[in-house]
Amino acid sequence: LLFLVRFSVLIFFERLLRICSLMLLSVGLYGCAATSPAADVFSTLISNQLSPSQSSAMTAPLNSKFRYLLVDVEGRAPALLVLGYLDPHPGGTVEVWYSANREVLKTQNGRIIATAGLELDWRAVRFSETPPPWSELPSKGAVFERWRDEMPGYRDNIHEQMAIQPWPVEPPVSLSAALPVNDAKNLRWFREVALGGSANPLPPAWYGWGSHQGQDTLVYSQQCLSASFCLRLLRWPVSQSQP
Amino acid sequence: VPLGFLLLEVAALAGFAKSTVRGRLNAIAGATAIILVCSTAFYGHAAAQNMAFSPPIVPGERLSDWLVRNAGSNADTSTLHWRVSAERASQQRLRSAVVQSLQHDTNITLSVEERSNLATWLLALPLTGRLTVAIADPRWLQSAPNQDPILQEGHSVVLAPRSATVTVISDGAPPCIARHISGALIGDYLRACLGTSGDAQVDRAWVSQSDGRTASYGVAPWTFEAQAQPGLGSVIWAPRRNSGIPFNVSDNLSRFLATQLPGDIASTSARSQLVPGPTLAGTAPRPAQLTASDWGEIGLLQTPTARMAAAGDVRFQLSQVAPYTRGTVMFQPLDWLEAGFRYTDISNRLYGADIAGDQTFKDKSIDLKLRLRQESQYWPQIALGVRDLGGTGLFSAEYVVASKRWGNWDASLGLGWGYLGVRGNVNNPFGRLDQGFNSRPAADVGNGGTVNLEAMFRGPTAVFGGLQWHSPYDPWVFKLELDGNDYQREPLNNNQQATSPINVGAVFRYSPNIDFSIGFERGTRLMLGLTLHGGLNQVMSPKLLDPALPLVRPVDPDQNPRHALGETAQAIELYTGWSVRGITHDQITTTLVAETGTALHLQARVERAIRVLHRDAPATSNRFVLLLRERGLPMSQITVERQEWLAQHMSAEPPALRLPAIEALAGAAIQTEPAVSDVAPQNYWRGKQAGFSLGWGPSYTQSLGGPDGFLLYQLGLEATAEYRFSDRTWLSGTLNQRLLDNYKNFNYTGPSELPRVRTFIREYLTTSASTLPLLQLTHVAEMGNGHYFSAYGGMLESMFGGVGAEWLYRPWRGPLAFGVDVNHVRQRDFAQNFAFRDYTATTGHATAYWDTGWNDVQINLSVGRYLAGDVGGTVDVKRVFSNGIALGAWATKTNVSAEQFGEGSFDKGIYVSIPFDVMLPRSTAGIGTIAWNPLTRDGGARLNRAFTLYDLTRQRDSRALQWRETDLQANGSAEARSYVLNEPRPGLFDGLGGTTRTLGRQIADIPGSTWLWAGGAILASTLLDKSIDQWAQNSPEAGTSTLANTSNGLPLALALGAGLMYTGIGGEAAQSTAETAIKAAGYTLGANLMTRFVVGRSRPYQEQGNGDFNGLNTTALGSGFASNHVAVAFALATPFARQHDMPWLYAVAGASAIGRIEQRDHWLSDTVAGAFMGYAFGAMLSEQQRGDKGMRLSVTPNSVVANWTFK
Repeated sequence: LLFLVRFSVLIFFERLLRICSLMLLSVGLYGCAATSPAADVFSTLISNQLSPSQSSAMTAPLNSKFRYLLVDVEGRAPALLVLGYLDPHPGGTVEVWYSANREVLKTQNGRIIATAGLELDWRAVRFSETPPPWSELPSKGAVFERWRDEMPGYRDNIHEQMAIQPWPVEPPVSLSAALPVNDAKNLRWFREVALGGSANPLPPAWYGWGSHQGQDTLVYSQQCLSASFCLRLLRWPVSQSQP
Repeated sequence: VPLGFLLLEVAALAGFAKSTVRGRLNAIAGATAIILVCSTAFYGHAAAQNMAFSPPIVPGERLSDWLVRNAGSNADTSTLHWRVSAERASQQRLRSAVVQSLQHDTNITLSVEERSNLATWLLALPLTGRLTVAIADPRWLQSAPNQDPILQEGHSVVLAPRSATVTVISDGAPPCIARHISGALIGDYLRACLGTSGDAQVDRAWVSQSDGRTASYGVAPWTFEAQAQPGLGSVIWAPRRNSGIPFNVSDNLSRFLATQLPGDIASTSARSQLVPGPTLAGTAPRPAQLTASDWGEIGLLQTPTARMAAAGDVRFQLSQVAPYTRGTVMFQPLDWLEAGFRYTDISNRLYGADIAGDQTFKDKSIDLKLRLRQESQYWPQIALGVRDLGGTGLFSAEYVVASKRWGNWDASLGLGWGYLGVRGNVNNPFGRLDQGFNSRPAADVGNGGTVNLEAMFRGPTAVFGGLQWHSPYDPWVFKLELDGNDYQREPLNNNQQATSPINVGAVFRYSPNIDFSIGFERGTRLMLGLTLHGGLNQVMSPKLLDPALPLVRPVDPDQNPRHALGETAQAIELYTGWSVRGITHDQITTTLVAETGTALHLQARVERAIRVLHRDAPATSNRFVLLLRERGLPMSQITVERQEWLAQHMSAEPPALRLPAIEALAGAAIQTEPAVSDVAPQNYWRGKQAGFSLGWGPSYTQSLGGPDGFLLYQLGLEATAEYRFSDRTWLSGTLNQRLLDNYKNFNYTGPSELPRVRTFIREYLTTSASTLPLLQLTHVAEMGNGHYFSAYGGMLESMFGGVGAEWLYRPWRGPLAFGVDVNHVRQRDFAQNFAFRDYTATTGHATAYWDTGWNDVQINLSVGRYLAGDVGGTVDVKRVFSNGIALGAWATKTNVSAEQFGEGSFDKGIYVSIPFDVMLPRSTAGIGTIAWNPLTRDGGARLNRAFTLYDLTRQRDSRALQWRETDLQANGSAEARSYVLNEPRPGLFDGLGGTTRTLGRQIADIPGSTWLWAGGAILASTLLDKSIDQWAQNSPEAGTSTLANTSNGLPLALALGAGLMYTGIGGEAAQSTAETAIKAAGYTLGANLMTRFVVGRSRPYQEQGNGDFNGLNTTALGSGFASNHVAVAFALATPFARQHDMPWLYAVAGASAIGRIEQRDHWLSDTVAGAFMGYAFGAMLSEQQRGDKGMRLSVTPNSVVANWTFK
């Protein structure tokens, strides 16, 4: 606990230090500038540092012709991805999602099987056999193998033994704030872990299966591409009543 | 066999020289075919049997579409090869350069057979024309059209099955193919293929990944770096350290290997061997941890190490170990130079009640550390450093330190003098040369500011050193050191209790930019420290608050102007911050005229302007012309070929087929702005000339380290206003309102024996809260051909008002500019209102601005008259990083003596200038400068002019379109740098090593008769020494004659002339000769220094006679044999005299002896010896230069160049 408190203080200190140093530097530079820049330097600086711009992803007007995925990364504003392609695949249709920054997220049965353009990418994911469908997963769970290529760093062919099992209650992790509590309760939850001792294991993945826009599908998931880079994926909007 | 291949290569290269582009490709294809046939004939094994498949392309389709069509959207594309036949030429050049180096580079120590094997194997590899693809995912490519190639005739796409191997190639060994193991690193594969002993012989390895990208990594315990894993199908090139293969050859080789399919690499060698997959070592290599010592430099706790941070690094370090608190700012302007300054607070000593009341003692100091040698397998890294250089010298110390790394351990051992050597645990090694080195004179602080050379490396000497260990828990670094100081001779009679010579400590690396440190030192004291550090060259701020740029879309053939031209102008102003003066559509050209302002990042703004023009311009407009002005002065004309620009934004184009989309030319005096009468009214728009503008912002002024308080500051509001009578004439003013300050403590006025031009700073800062620092009317003009003029008048700065004028000659993109400014000014009233004081001055400077082209270093040299009437020069050296941040230092020396100048002895300082663009989330014009000037004094004070022509003409700089935000973007498709030759750029001093060796041989080859002849001549001249000296004594003007003064100035004049020629102003031949002359002068000075040290002959004015010799002591370094003036004059003159048929230069050099003799600084024989010495070095180096004759063939990325030098 002491360590956590100390660490929190450090984080606060760093942020404070960054703001102060930037302000001081900008004031100092401003005073020394050969010609003064626009007067809104301060406001932009402060607004950027003190109140990171809140994404409008959750309130953005949606086009009913498209399907969306709300992606939430811890500590950052959520992003809204749009479905670009449904690519047929023997293991299940691959959904190709695009962000406004042209990042690509590919999911198959809700699992991330490739990303492109993120700070950490899973370029390709391969399975020994197609993981069982969510609706048919036995209560004792299932085991399968996974290989993936990770970039940057050319970490090719990372091999993991995966185990998935139903989870009778809501997962003991903080879920996306965009997922209504009642919706979360109505989902069937699954927990997927990599077995075996890895030096830097990925946190467990959580999947929520349920009904979305009249279809049974994977509505919500939390999947980590690395120990410190986890995505929360939520089909959006969560209900038909959403605009 | 290699000769045969070489002939084929040469034949192909000759084909390039004569043929058209298409012809060149045919020549290449032909040569390639022959080579492949030859390979088969000589090695008798079949060409690669790839399982790769390559369905035909449909010209015009996207690569992404090809992938979806032929492989599916989810296929494994990790081995994708996009191949363009036109790229084979550059890849052949790449291979030829490697092969030529392998065959002819004398530094390479491989056996003939090893060279031949390697070259032959390389020549057997196919030329693929492969280009990189940013991310080979078709769905991603579809979202990034600028990274998605449009396939054309001559393109092909190859998809090979995923390889499960990694190939290791080392010189002298056949390719080794090991099974890929996830998580295995380079060292693991090297051990699998080369064995433990082979792995131990490799310092650096290159990895060519299957996606076509390459990187190199240190793999020996002393070079370990963080590294990427060799991916599936990658190739590792691992030359042995003693192979002598130059870095750039390995780099080129690895990039050529990246063009190959793994199967091709394995199958072209009959001797390939297969080995099992490697065993994982368990721990990944980690990079060296560079942490600050308590003194701010890279080091342990109290002691430095030989380590250096990366160039561009800046560090602010605060440490406290009672009674000292140190605040240090350290810079790393070059890879081998670390420098900075420090304030030290001594908590148990006071400044002195009469000066600073109860303020604790503060001391300023400057540090310097030079890397003398880089680390190698057996040699440590060695550095030489000085602490507290030139200040009061309270903590002055000198040291030589060596550091050797072994993985996570880094050991250092050094010898310290001064504060670092007080323990005195060894004898001073220099004491063997001269007993005087055994005692250190007390710091002769005097006025400070000068380097106390007399004390350097003298007195008690101590061994210091220690260990640094990077713990397995990554953020922690532990340190253990032997301190060279026992704290029993502390300055200010402030000895400290020290019960242990061992200090221990730890650094917690909280983030990449923040370190906390803790230690236990002297056996009694706790140390706490904080370090903020980062790379100035890496500073950037994503432009999150900028408006989103218009998307680039193909031109609609029916597109008419989408907006009224006024709206287009508004949009350009929004995105660029420029002031648009006009837009004209004239048939196929759209012309934009704009005032650009002071933003440094021009390239980004040009790109934004083009995007808007492309969005709005009619489809008929094929060319955009941007006429950019600064204060009405034409600066540059940027022509954009719209279709080519569009093509480069809409697809990935092969570098070989890429045409320049943007061309920048000098802005002409009368720019080709279309006449309005020629175009229809709807096709032109003219903006109003800027009239009145107003801005405001915060102001901040500070003074550090003064006797009235460590920090004196004022915060306020500053309003700036400008009225432009015309583009080139404007009135600008600044009004400052002080709001918050601690000036009630500000009582000290520095002493001065000069007119008080700057030391009234307290009065200027405190007299009035409302001030008018600037009110200036300025007019600028262009006179054509790079000549500019300005005239100005008013309140020119906070302390002076008056009138002035400036002329600047700045050739377009030239390395050299020259300017002169003259000002007549009067001192302003302290209230900074419209009143004046009595003091007037005429001040001005001639300034040469030289962009050296070496490490982005610029040198400005000014000579002239300063505000206090003193005459002298200022040298300003700065490095400007690619993001526009400049790190510099200046020094001014005038004819004011150190005593007159006061504390500091001469004016100097360090500065950092930062474009606002790099630190704010919104594009913002302007550059801020933070300067550290240890003391404000009156000597060497320059007028702070608000507008200088050099700044206004920044767009004429050769790097004007290169300064840009640090690029954090991932790799792109068809990167031009991927498969282009990497040729080493010679450093400023790189030629010296070879020159010195040759010089040694030349000296050894001088016949004995020549030595005898020269020695005899010098001896003979001694016979005239006394009679000539008698003449000097009897000279009526006793050495002050015009002749003597002129004569003394001749070496300087020759040096300036050589320097000017070295800038290239006199053509390439003169530049080359000037380089030789400057080198010769350097060698001559060095040789003469040694001669003086050995001979130690007294000078005539010492009245000891011409036979008094007292050498082998440091005083002898200032003795008279031989004359530096004459030696340097001859060294500079000889190369020009010999190579450019200018024998009269010998007479000029000889005339430099007159002043030396008349002023009784030298005997005649001193000057004769100097003349021989200078001539000898000049002649020998001149011979070296002329010796580079015959034909030299060099291959560049785009050409083959033959240089034939002959007498």
